[in-house]
Amino acid sequence: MEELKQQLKEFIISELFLDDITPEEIENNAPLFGEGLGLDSLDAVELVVLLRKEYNIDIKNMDEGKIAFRSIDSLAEYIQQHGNG
Amino acid sequence: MFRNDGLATKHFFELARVEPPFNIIDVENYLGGSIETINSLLNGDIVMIMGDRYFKGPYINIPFLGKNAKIPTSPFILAGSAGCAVVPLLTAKTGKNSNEVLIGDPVWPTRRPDAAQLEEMVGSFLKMIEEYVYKYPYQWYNFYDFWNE
Repeated sequence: MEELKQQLKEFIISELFLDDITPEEIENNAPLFGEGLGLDSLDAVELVVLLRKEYNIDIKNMDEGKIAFRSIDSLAEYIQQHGNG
Repeated sequence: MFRNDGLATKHFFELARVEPPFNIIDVENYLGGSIETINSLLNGDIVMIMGDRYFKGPYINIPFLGKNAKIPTSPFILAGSAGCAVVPLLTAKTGKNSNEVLIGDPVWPTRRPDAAQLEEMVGSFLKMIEEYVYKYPYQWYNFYDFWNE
């Protein structure tokens, strides 16, 4: 699980072009959107593309998506539960 | 689109109680409906976005009919992320039972287009609307101050 979280942080930094932060600076339980990491709706778009490409995950249910997109912790949990690639 | 259930956006299909042949993604949804939008595009659906109405999210100030206006750039950014094209589409009513549909050349934005690319793409789109507004001046309207929003 820790390895997955680390990998997620690295993917988020590279795919979302967050040049000015390091994986260590992203806290596992910090909000990804708004406060915390401060991602916006178009970062969410890139995150959806990333999840499909890297983990073969399709967020179909928006209620689940909202929970998954809360933090690195919740995203990793969602991938573990739904991932098959 | 922005959806207000109490007003004219309540669609014919809902009133007629038949299944509409499309889904509406509300910009008031979580993260502006961006997740549903990219999912639809990645699934191969066609997503229609009102390209000349700014609600929230990224935009540029760019001349339209002689004065700068706030125009959304998200349609082009979304298409760049999905790897699909933006196809401008305008329609006008030309008679009691006839409409004209104008379809522009497809534009293929790169992933995360830069400011200059966005300005060029939005600029060409607005030029197309301007020509259409000169042709059909009573068919493009707003109920707010478009240039000073």
